Amino acid sequence: MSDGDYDYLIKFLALGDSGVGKTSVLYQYTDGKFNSKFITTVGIDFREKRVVYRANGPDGAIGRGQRIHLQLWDTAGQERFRSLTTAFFRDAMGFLLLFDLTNEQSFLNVRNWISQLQMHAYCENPDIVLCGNKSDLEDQRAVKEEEARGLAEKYGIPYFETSAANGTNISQAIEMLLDLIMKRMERCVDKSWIPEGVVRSNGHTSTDQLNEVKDKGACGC
Amino acid sequence: MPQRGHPSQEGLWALPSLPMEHGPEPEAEGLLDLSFLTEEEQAAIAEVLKRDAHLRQLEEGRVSKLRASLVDPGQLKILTGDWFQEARSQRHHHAHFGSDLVRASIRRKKSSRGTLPEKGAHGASHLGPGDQAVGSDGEAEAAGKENEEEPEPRPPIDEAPQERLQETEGPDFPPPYVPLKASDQEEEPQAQEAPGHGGVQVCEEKADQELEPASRVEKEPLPAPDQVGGSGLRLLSRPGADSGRGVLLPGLRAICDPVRSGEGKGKRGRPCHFSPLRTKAAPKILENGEEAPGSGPALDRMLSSSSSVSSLNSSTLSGSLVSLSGEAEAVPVRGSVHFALHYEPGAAELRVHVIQCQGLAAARRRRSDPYVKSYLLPDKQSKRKTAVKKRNLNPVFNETLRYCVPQAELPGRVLSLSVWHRESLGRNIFLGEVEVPLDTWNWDSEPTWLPLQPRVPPSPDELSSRGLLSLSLKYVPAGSEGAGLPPSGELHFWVKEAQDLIPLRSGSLDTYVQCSVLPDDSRASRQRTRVVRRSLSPVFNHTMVYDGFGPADLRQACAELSLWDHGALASRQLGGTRLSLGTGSSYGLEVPWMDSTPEEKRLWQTLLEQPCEWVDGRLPLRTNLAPRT
Repeated sequence: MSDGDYDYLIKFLALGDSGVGKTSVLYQYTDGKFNSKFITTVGIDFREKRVVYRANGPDGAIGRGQRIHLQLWDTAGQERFRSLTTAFFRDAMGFLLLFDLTNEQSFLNVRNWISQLQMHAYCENPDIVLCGNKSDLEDQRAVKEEEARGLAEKYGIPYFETSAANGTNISQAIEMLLDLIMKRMERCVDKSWIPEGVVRSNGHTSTDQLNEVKDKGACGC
Repeated sequence: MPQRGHPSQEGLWALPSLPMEHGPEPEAEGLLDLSFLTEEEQAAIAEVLKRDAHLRQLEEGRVSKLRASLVDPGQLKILTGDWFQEARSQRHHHAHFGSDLVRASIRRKKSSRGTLPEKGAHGASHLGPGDQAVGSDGEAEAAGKENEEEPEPRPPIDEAPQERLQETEGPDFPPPYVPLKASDQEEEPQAQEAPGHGGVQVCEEKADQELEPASRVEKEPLPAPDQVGGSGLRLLSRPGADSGRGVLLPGLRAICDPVRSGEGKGKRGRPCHFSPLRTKAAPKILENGEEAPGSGPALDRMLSSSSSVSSLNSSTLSGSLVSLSGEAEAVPVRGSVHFALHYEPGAAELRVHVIQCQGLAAARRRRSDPYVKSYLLPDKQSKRKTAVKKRNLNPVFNETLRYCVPQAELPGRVLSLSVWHRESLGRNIFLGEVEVPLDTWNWDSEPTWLPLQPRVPPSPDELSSRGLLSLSLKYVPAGSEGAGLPPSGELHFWVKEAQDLIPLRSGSLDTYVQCSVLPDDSRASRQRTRVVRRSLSPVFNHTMVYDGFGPADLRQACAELSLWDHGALASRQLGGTRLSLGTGSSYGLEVPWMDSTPEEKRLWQTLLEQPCEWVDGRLPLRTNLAPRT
């Protein structure tokens, strides 16, 4: 990622309670790796990744790929960093809101995070994708899928059950968010020169990033 | 409930420590309180912010190229990210990036702790006001001219006479580092279609954790860095002349002098002469202002000037000390410059490969004869120039400008590249500039395009003023008086007198002078003289001392001295002067009050250059100080 040769700089921000796996999810997405050791994020960090967003024409033809540089902000979930991390909310175009499927409190706090976003983001209804992470720990699950899905529907946001450990649904969730942003941009200019999209990534991950994710509307799982 | 790893023990949503919990406008107006961060945490965050600044710098280059090459407004809006900025600006009135806010907040924390490493040992003696040996007006003026802008043309000091390159600029001194920002609506430059290079690669090659905006400033020839022991500022106020220091207060406390405490307190009125600046209006004003600097009433121009400074997110503006005032030839800035930087360790040489420019403005009837000039700031003798390319708005230079400089010094340097139209029969015309802080430069990057930036529009010369204020200033670096004294850098103000005051209605005035050293505008740090009654030439003869200032802090600070008419119920501000480098920003944040006039900047610069000496000024008490917020 050494040149500025891209078409869009898109900034996302991951948020959620401490320990839900924000850093791990981003690391899995950008590097395809997982580290089970918990290293708390100091305040703020970001990772970067290049993806290609491929637009489908109305006839289903695949258009020219849009080269996207993703800046993925990672925030500390710890309360003590809150004033610092909140300051970054306003600069993100979309949000990846995570909770831990094995930690009910982190799920209950989703509401609070959403109201934080409504207050501090660049607009009142920013694009958010909700992720219930650690889906690989099925035996420790504390949040039912229906519950989480219900909450997501209430807010009208997509929901994914992800696992940073095995990579499940990670790129799907982020690319869904990207799709939402691209559509929002399109609406912004009231012009449909970016039609229905497909995300194709390239970057650090090698094999799994070329899987094209068809646009699936509101929910990708 | 089964949990894995580190359970979240949050549920702390109602903590009062969340400053942004309430109200529809989430942004704290000021800096964040980051005092809870440890040094290590600060360093880690600083590193992240540095990477972000680098990414933004590249993004800005990309966006400016787009603006020049794309015509479809819709497409442009999307590709540049303007759609986002527009939405964001409807909600967040200040344009600060979270990164900048945090950066500035950390910087403030650092400065108040006094972590400046070096310790100065200077034999310069402490001269009291009574000694008044140094810094006559003439000397101050002369010294100032070395560095500052001037309204009138003058022969450049470092130019061979036969070259006749009478640029309207002077050798700049470096601004505090303000990171380049991506694509605000104010984006001015327009480049033509150009191939993009410029690495997005995150810059991690430097281990130093220095993030303070003013870091490189400390490498300036200012001879007396300090070691600041205490916390916060110590303020001493004493009437009359020199007396012993020795009152050391922790925190922000002011000692009232007897005269002042003897008179009515709490009778200050908050002045509010101006409606708040609308930063949105800035771009238009800036353009117009540059087209026709001579038009418009002085007040408007001053306001537009300061608002432009505060809204244009560019490092280049902050260093722009050049007056284009009265330049009928001033042309709007546009275009980009393409260059590469390479450091050759063997030769200890910085090589600036100036490749080309694209989309330059036409200085003369659709033509320009451009050349590129560089300075390796803060070295003002470091001018290098390319050849002149005649009749070319997209000149290809392919020249290498070389600087012999130790590698270790690079992080403290700023490369200034400015583009000029060579005018054979008159003064050369400024076409734009970029400033590249080398501390965040990615040395592995490919050649980079950066948009050319305008300089600050001139402050009008015909400011309306309420009279003149005579004062002397002195900066006493820490340790400069021997035996570790003073313990931190001290800023001395000797408010002498005001002259030629214009009364409000009829008759006379009861006046006093109030001083604040911004960004600290707290009540506790305000100091005042006594009230001198019924005089249009009041003599105050009052000194005030502020401490806790390292040399780098002085570059970020602005001393505001205002003259007030003392009323029984409320006082009224009559005018004032703001002494600063006038960069438009302080600790990385754009602020309206860094709006010093050339004259004021000159005095402050002289103060910086002559520690331990009184420097004298006689300044107009301006009535157009931009509102502080």
